Amino acid sequence: MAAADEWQKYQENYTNQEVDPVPEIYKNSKSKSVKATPKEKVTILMFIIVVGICCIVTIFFQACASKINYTVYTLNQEINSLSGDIDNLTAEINGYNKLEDLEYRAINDLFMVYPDNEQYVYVEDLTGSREVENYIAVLSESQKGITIKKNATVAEAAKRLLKVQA
Amino acid sequence: MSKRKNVSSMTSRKRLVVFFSLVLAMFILIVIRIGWIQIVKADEYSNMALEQQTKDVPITAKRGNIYDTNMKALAINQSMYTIWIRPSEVSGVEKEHKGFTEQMAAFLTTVFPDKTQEEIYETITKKTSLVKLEKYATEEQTNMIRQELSNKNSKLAGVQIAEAVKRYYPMGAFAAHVIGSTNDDNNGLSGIELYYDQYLNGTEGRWIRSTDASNRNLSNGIEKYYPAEDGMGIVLTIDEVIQHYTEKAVEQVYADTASDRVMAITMDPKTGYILSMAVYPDFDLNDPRTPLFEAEQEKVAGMSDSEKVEYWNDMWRNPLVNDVYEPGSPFKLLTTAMALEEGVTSVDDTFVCRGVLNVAGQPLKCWRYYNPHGTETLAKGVANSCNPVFVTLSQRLGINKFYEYLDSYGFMGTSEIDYPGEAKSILQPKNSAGPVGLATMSYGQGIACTPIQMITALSTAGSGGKLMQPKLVKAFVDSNGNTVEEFEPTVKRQVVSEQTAKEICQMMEGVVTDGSGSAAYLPGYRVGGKTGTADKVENGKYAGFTYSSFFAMAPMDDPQIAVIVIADSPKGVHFGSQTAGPGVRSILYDTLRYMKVEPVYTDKEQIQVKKDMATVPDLVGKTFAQAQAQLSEAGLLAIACPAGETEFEVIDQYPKSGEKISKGNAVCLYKE
Repeated sequence: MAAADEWQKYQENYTNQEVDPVPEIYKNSKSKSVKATPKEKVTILMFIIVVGICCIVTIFFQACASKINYTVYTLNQEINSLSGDIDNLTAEINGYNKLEDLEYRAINDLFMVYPDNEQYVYVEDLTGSREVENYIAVLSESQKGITIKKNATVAEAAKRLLKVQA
Repeated sequence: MSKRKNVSSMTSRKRLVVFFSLVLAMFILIVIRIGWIQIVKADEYSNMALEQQTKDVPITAKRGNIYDTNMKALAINQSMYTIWIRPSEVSGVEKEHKGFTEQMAAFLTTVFPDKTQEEIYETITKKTSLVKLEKYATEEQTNMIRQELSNKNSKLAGVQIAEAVKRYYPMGAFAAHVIGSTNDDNNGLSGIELYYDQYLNGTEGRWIRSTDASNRNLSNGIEKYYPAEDGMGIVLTIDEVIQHYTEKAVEQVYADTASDRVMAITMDPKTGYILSMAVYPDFDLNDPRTPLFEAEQEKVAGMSDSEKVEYWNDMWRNPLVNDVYEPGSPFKLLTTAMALEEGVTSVDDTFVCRGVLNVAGQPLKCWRYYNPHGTETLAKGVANSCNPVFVTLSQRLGINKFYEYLDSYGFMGTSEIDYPGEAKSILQPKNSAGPVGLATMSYGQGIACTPIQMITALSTAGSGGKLMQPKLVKAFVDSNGNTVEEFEPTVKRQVVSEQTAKEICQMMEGVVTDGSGSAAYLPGYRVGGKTGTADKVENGKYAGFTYSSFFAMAPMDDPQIAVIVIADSPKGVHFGSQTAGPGVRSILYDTLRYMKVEPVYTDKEQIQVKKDMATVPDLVGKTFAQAQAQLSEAGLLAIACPAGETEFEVIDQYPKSGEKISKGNAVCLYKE
């Protein structure tokens, strides 16, 4: 709006002179140039360089992160594929382990037979029996330096241990 | 002139003001609109943007595996691929290169030889955006497609490969009726797969990511991954080895008796755990819609869709749980137990069989009515399976007490086994059964129950009189095999006392040693059992066919296994002892050996066993012919190893000389 007002005044000045007003060409007055000192120039330059380096580093790490992301994704894909292969191979192995097929091959190709009852030797199951408990006790306590007579039976050794403990 | 200039400058000013006002107004409107969008409607639009910019991909959970009691996998997941085609892309390439579609179809025929070129052409030219070419392509087929896609002048276009998971049963036709099958979406259709579907399925995961308009991932966008929770694995009580022996036995019985069907259950009487459950004919779980026999396959091929569905449902049905039958004579053991428990009889009690017994004017025959049993003890009556004995016992019990025991034995409801579609027993109403109904029920006719109910009730004799809940599943495990939950044996109730149970066991042993159950006799083992030949009901009446069955337990001093074998409508000989009996013997022999139950031979059995053994002679250095003759004298067979030429000198043998083996076994004679 200021330019318009000035132009109006300018026009009024020239009204009586019957001269078409010509707009004055405004020349920007030279602003006072503020010269930066060399020190400031260096500071500004360093600042720009530092910012630039920061940006480059950020971009670099961003790229690294993207690359790692991609590697992770690719590896995950591979893992999934290998996992699938494992499942399929397991399925194949299980298929070959069918009892029906194994029995057929054993009997017809290898002429194997099931053992007769006569060919079994049945061993007494002593799990939890007093004898086994005594034996285990003797083995563990003998490591603590308690002397047991040579040729002592398991029962005798256990008796001795129980006495010592008492 | 100045006036005109004044006027024109005023007009310009006004125009400027108006213009400025308009611009200001528009600016204000825009600010209001921005405020409306970013403040008032912020949530709505940001949700819409999120929906548009993010893709939510479900991560399929792996279905849990099914294992036998020893963690042998019976049902697993197989990784396969689904091949999708975008017909629009194919037609796009066809426009540029005429004949491309034909070429593509021809190539795909080489990859999928079970499809014709016409079928493939029709698929890839469908008017849809995406079409499935193959649901479960193998690794090889997929690699062929991938290789072709990577070629410069590829014969393929619009092809997408997606991973798929297919249920796979490595044993094929094994425990088919127990495990059941799944549909294409990996949901259970029958059996354990159906009953425990929610546990096997697991929970889907989610992969939420930011994408652009072309569905490509934005590397800086949102990415959230919620892993899927795989389904739980199921550990059955079924033992693979015992199941194999059972299936072998029922197959043999089927072949020997030409029955419509043969079925068997084995159970641990002390825990109620089902060790095996077999029905023959069965089907391959990897192809559950194809019957076992070619004749049946042709029959199905000619059926309509609805007929096929009916046929398949019938094929998948487990008659051991889903169907009822009249049990016949094995039920007599329960009648005996009821009478002993109530004190209305004793082991030494005597009865007289005159061949026919009149009940309320109705003559009820003994099976040996032409040659009546005469006077017999209760134990003898059980061994002879004499009907009048049990009719008498039921009369002494009375209908009220009888029905009380039916309820106690679990015949009023179901066995509560963890299997879908269990049938309920069919009993005559107590009010209308009358004395004839009671009499017929006492020997197992006029009452229908499932085989699982029958073996559960009879196994009370082996568990000290306790009724155990039958179970097919003993534990849930996670994907690493760690136990998540265990299911202990459940005692439902004490039906009879231990004393009664012991007496029943003794009488069962008498059936095998002195009665009709001799087919199940095994030297070295105390086997007890009961045969049954029950008339079969078809369309509401007895049609002449039978359910021939045999129930047995062993060893009777400490029962480890109970087994029931049922032959449905055997042709020719139909007695349970001769049809199902050999099957029971086979199962018991193999299973007791597998369970390492030590045989205890009587003196008589020792002599017989020794008679059946032969000592292998020394055959090294002899010709094959000489060795064969010597072995034949000893009751043994000769086999040349490797097979083929028999003109050679024996350089080694197996078993070695001096070994004792059963007669009829073979000795390998090595030539090189």
